[in-house]
Amino acid sequence: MSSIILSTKCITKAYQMEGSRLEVLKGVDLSINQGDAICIMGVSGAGKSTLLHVLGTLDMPSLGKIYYKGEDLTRKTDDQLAEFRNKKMGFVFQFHHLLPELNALENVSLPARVGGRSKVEAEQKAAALLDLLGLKKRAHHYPSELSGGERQRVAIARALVNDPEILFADEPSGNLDSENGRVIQDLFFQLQKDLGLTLIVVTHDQDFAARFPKLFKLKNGVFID
Amino acid sequence: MNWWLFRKFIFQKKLFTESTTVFSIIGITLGVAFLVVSMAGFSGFTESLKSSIIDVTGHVSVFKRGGRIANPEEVVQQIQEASPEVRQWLGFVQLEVLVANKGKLNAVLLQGVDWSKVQTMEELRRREIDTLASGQTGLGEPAYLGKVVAQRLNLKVGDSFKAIWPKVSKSTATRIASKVQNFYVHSILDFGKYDFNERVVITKLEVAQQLAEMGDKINGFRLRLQDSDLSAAEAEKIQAALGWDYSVRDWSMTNRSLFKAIRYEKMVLFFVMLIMVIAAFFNVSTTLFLGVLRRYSQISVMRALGLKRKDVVVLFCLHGLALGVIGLVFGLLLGLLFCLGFENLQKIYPIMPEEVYRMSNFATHLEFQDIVWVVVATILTCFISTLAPAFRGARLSPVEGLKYE
Repeated sequence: MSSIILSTKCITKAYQMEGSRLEVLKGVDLSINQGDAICIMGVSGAGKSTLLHVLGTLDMPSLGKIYYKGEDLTRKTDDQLAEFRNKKMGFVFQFHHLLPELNALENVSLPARVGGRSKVEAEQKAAALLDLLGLKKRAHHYPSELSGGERQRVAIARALVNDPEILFADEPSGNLDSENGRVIQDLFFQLQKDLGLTLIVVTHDQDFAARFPKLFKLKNGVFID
Repeated sequence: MNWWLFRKFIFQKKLFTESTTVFSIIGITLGVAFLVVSMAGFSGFTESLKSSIIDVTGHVSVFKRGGRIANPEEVVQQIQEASPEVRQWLGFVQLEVLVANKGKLNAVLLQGVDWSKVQTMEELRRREIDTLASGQTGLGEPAYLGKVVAQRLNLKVGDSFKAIWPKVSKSTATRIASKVQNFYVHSILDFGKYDFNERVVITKLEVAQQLAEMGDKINGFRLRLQDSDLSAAEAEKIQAALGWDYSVRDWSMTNRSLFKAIRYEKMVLFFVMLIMVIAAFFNVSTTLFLGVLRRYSQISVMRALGLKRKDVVVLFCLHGLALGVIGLVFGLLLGLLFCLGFENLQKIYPIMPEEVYRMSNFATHLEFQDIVWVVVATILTCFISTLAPAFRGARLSPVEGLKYE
């Protein structure tokens, strides 16, 4: 039986906007098993990206708890969470968000260098990942010299460089054409299977969502059936 | 701190060619350069004044109170025993005389000193503006003249003039018997200080003694020490050894209040100029604030990937410090260049009215401690100016910057 890697208890996220309170998440409960591939789906404004950010500790909930293997993440300090993200989590965003001053190899090795690994060690791992994703020849190219699909594959490699346990992806194929989008989607499933990752993807693409064994639909800040 | 990240994040060609960065560096450079020039100017003025005084009066002067020294050798021996620091001594006679040439008259201080020593004294040799060629003489006894005395009497080297010593009779107060001596201008000197240039005439010891009817007696000694910084301490030792029949003064006692005023002015000017540097660092703050806004997305990504808040603070502080150090280095170089330019300009154009400032020119002199103060003040100001933008950058939510491309 799989163990729970990430769970939430009554997550609420609210924003104060010009005197009024806007609740984006309204008491979300979620349990994710290790090795699961789950998709959170919903229309724009449903709160799916906010939930992903909260699950990924990029943002803290207004109320409620997040647990990683039973450990309450809401009690950690900002710097402890940064270290936790660096070691345990990988992120792929809708916009690749590669640093333009770094080439592909340096972009991929960035989380490893931030985590304190040596240049040689970080770049060896980054080179292996780029090779795995078919970008060996593009290692020394800068983001401006890469296609959209290639940039997103570099971003995936960057998310994997520290061997995370959980891979978060926010609309990973949302900014690509259908062909490239399909390639990226396939890649996620392949990596999840090969590396035994826990994959949490947010999308509004129904075809992509349909490929996941577990699907959570979010509407107005709550899960619906 | 991850130096690799710092290098990649900060030292980008693009970053250093941005207009805000360029203007920040120019601002710091000018601020630091003016700070350097003002410090070097004041130190140089002090040094020139000090050197001018020491060249004429020596490090320490010894006078017999209310009388003349009849036993110079014994006094010299006492001085040398009291202070082994004394490397040279020069007995002198000084008297107020009138010098006259072609209907022009000027009151001067005639100093008689050992002529053989004077001619080998480097301090005076380097102050010569004009001198007679070796072997040439004139009518009368040789004399060194301050340049203003020479100008007022319209004298050139080789020209003759008369010195008149008004001898007041002790028995009849109203009767003045004058003694006259002929001199020729051996050299014209620029003592570096207007008061000396308009007052000092140097001649042979025996000539002055004869004019003043002093026999072998002298008025005092000018002493030179191994280390000028010990002047005050050695003067005290000599005073203690010679007793209160003698007046022993070190060079700093002459114009003491002026030196004190210069020191205070230098301090005040340092802080005034520092305000310019502080103003320049507002540009650095602005550049960093713009950097925070421009790099919102990059900071968010790096925070998402595990960069800690304190790392963001360090990153922006180092960015600001890098700008500060570049500005500081350029500023120091530009300051030195201004100093060189100022010195050369003085040779071509008389910048300072001599009658007002009592000096016609001065060398700039940058002291090591001045450089240390400039560096410390600049770096400290720079560091403080980076804090607000650095903490602003660290407080950014990682989420906001990830929403947009």
